[in-house]
Amino acid sequence: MSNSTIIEISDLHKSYGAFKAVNGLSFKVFKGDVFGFLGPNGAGKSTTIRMLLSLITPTSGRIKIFDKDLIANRSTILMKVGAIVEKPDMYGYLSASNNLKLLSRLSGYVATNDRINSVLLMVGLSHRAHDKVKTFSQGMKQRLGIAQALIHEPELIILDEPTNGLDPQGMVEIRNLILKLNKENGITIMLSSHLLNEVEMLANRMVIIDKGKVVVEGDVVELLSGDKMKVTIGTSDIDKANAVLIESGLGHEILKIEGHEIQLQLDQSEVSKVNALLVDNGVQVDKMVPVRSLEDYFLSLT
Amino acid sequence: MRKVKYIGLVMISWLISFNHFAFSAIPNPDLILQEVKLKFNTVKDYRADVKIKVDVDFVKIPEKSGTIYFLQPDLVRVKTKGFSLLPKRGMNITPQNLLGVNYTAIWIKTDRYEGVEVEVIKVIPIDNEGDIILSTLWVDTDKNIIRKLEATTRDAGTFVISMAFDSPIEGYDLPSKVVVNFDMRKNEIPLGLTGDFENDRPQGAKSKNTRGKVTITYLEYSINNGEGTAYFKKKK
Amino acid sequence: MNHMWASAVSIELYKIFRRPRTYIGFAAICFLVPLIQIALYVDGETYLEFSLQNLKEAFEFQGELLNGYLATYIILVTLYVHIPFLVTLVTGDLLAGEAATGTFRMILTRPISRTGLLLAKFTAGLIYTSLLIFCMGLLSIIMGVIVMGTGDLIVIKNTIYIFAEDDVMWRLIAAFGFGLLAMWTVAALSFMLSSFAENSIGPIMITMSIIIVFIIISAIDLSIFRTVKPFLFTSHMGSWKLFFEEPVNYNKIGNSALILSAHIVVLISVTLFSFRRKDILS
Repeated sequence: MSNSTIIEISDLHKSYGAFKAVNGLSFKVFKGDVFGFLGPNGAGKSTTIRMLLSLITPTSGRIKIFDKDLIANRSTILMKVGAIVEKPDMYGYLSASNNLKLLSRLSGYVATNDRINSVLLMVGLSHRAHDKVKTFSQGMKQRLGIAQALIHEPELIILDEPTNGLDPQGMVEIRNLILKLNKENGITIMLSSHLLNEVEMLANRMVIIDKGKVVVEGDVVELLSGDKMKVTIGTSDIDKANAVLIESGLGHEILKIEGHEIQLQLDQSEVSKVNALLVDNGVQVDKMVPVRSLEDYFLSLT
Repeated sequence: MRKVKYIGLVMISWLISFNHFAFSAIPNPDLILQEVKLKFNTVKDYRADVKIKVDVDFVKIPEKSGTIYFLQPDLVRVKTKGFSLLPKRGMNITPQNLLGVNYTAIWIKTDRYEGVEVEVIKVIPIDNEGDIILSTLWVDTDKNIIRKLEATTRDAGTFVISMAFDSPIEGYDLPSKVVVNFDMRKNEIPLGLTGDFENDRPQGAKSKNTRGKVTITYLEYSINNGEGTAYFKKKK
Repeated sequence: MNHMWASAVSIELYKIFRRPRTYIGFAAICFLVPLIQIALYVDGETYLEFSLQNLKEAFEFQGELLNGYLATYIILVTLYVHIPFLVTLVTGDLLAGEAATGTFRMILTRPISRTGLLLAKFTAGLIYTSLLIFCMGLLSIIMGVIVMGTGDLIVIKNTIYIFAEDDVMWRLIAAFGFGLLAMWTVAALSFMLSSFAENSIGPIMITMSIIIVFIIISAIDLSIFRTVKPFLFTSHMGSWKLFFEEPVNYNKIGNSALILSAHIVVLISVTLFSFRRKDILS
């Protein structure tokens, strides 16, 4: 992975009167990162993202993207940036494909029909290409939001809560898409979320902010290793799964058994091993969902 | 004795001839007007191409081209292209309808008008039916034409018609230009037609008398060729 | 960047003409214009008779005054209150509509500058306004001529003007041209108000209120209002009527045109100044 800096935020401040929404924020995003931008509600994430996209003017501080000052080079920078800011709102009276065509032209990019169709396929909306957006569900609008961030082939994508409003299947699809864009297309992704486990699944680096300041910044694995998380295993054969876990010496990690779900406490590195153990012993694993809460992580830091 | 008789004869002769000359030097207005009518009656009909310019204080209308048709004794019709405003008084005055009623004519004086010697005659209609109650005519007895006419109407003030005869037409002496000056009351103009909310007419600009003028320039006549007759026949 | 700005103008026009509300203005004109013409065709003679009855005491009328040109002139008079509303329906929504739907977040994160976007939107608004006035003019004149023919035009102010038939068309075209400038001023005002609002109702209502209040101020003859009157844009919106005088007072028309243009420049400058600094929080 190259170490060239895609985003550099230095001593960023944003005040609304006496209230400091962002209070001396500094962090970097490197080329090829899937960068997790975390914080509880009201931490200043949305304000920071809006400043990155020039929707809000900073009170002070500096933002550089692609090694260029944002204020001085806004147009050239934003040609290579795609973003969703909070809930993606489109022109409801236009179809999905017309929205994409329009928005890509505003990015100085002429999207061919093939390009539009391929992006809609990527986000699972190709069957609704010609339907008016006002008929879309929230989840479909979210997918279309991601599509408009991708349509003009950006080098950097900033996603604010990208899986918001999606069903579990949709969440998985979008997460896989994010990973694919990063790995196969080399796109740098900055992912804002209040869900630690989502960031943990996708990001290689992250920063956590609170009250407009950085709490912690660094490599995800380094920051989160040694920290146990809750994992929920779904299976139709609960008794057998329980027996296998006890036999392998993991019985003390079982937190609860409810219906067809067992909740364990595991290290991140143990998750795949437990999955393999159950499968090798003939237990059908329907799901394996790690749950790590940001609040728990905060508590562990203090 | 012979000397006295002789002086007496001379004096009587002189008196008689003085009386004769004195009374025969006052023109006879009836005769003059009769000559005018006779002269005008030689025109049976005419069609004239005209330009009409209306000059009224609160009306602005462009000069119009038109045609005037005349048929004896007193039919006059003005036709113009597009819309035109023609004053009711003064447009259809002819010797016939001016002098066709019973009237009393009084010779006033000999005068000069536009460099021409004229006899000034007042005409007072005897019956009370017409609109005109008194008119003054400036008559060119050389050509038996009216050069100027001033008429007082019953309830519409006075109007003055001045005529120019710059392009004499052999035998007929019809005017080349007629200017009609008339009294006008400046009427209240309604705003409603064009919904004018911004009309900044000054306060108190209510009715007041003003003068209007219409100038008719005769460009070409077609006299006694039956065109006037044909026009009025068609109208019937 | 010029290419991007031109592209933005076409995008804004596309958005304007994909919205049903845009067609309200054209539908209203297609209804209002024939309505006035039919009403005049049916009842115009009576109306003219009544208006000119005093003149008939002194004058004989010859020729026809009720024609398509008179109908067009009367339609022009409706520019005063009706058309400004139809203009603001669209221009008042150009910025406020984006704030209301949240689409600012989509378009302002694009490379086009805020100035470029604003000017593109305003240009599209002006094009819409121009099309509206052009349609009104075309429909008025064509329908008027077909239904009632042509002829001399009578215009009654404190002087009665009668214009020869061949002297009317250029005046009508010039009047519509000036009326267009007046409507551009209305567009600029509602556009500016739109930049401060989060939905379009506010800019539409406030624009119409301002127009009506200014007209009332102009109509009341108090000394304090007289001082202010020359600077109100509504005092100059009606200067198209000066084309229907003889001689035409080109100085006065030019002065009004300058004042309206100055209004447009100031209003757009204020919009630019505030919008460029605005934090997009919606």
